[in-house]
Amino acid sequence: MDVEKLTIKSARQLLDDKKISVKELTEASLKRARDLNDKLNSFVLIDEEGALKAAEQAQEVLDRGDGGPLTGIPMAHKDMFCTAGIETTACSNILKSYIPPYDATVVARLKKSGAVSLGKLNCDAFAHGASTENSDFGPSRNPYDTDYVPGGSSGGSAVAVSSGAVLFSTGTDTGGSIRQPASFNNVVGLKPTYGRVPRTGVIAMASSTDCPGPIAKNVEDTALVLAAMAGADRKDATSSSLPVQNYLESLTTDLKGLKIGVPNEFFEEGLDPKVEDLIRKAISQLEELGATVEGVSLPHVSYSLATYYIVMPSELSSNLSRYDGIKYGYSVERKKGYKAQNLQAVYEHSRSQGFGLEAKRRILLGTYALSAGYYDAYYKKAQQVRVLLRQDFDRVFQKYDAIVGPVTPTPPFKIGEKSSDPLAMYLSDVYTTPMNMVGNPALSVPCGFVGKLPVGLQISTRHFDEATALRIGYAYQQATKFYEKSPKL
Amino acid sequence: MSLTKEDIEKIAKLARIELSGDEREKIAGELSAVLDYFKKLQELDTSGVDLNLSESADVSGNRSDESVDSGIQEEILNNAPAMEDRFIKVKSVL
Repeated sequence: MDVEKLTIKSARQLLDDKKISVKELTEASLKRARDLNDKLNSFVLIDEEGALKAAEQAQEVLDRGDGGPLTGIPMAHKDMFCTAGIETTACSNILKSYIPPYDATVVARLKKSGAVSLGKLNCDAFAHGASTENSDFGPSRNPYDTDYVPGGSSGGSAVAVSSGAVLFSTGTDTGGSIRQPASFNNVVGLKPTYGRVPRTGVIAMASSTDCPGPIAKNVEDTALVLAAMAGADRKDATSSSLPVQNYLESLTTDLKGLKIGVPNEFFEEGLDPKVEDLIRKAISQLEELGATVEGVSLPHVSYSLATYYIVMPSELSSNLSRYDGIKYGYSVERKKGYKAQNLQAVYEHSRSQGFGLEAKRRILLGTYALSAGYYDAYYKKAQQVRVLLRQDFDRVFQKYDAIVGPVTPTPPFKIGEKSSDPLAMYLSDVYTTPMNMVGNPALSVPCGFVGKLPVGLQISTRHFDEATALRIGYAYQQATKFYEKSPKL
Repeated sequence: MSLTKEDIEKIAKLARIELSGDEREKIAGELSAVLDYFKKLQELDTSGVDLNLSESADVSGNRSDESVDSGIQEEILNNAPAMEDRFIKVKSVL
């Protein structure tokens, strides 16, 4: 069985027709994951025992006739999702050996759906990054060219899907961390509306923008996974109680009647001409499919990156204060022969030794922005600009059903190219952070290649209108079929 | 906005992080560059912006204040670095 050629849809058919068993599918996926991991480093933990046990249970469910769309489907979780009894580290040394006492809500829901988790996926530590080069466990590599980054922070999640080890994965998108790696891997990634998918049990980065979401090979698979993840959660007060739509029903092969806006500001200086070329071709394709396409303006969008890099570190500095060497995680109190002088020293030494450099940078930036005397100039100002940005988006969405544009300014870059310049790395988030600032959903779909390297098209819609984004992505995908290409491994 | 090593030391103290002299200097330079980039926000007139932070009208209300047994006390305590009986041990707070 060529497990790398499957999709959720085709695997579902094979399982339901009893042409393969869940055990066979799981073993083939585990083998592929293991065989490729030295080269790609997408998994930080492969849980063979757990996967086979889940496979057994899934087969029983199928044999009883109680199966659902995801029963027996191999997948894996970004290591930001707490998995009960299974090491969860956020890819940071400060959480090495941490065993969560509970499952994240998303993990529990996907378990209930019968999906089979193969383990945990690599990411930038604490989701701080756009390449997985900030992982404390080594970078992941782009399967289309292993000298290049797979994007981040959900790099491992995108690679696990694009390399054919799993049929879908979970990621988190706080500033672009699902969309950018999806675009770098020729797979589909969705940042749902903030509040659509609960954050319970997801290691927190920026609480006002974190969005757990799905990564899969194509749009219909992505829609299936979103349906299983989405919905209110009494343990997450920011989760929405709006009903979860039937996303599959909204998929069509034409876009007649849709009005799409193309933000002028996304095509200014900084966008690689080869990427621009692919995006413009994609936009023409949307017109051919029947959509009306017009230029629009988001006047404050050029300020979005600055607001993100104030709001996010501020919230992160608060969220990472819990890693203090007291209740769990790396602690100098565990170090043999180490005598911390006092409580302050336990905090300072545990955190300094456990955190990586990027985590420290962001914590310090956030601490500074929130400190007495600076709060007004930085955090409060950024939150005010965020309101102006929201007004821009709301104004456009009064007239248009979607906005489209690039996901990133460049194709995937080489490993090491941006890692010594934090600001250069931050600038790659320029087209994705606006949607995090305003909460709108956004999808990345494959739209071509620059040489060997994949490029994605971004589609963003109104709050809680993931259905229209998926509809546009599906019609585009069916007309172009870029997603059918896979890397030579 | 230029951050000095001393600024970094103050912030690090607040964040309960200890940095080496070299780290302090390097981070001061990096953060100064990032803060310079943020200066552009000052260009915008936000005097009329009311910070109403509740985005959606979709507020589910409060649950009743009732405690529920989680049943995972052992799993929680298993992660603790230092314990005595059923207590997590910490250094003197005073």
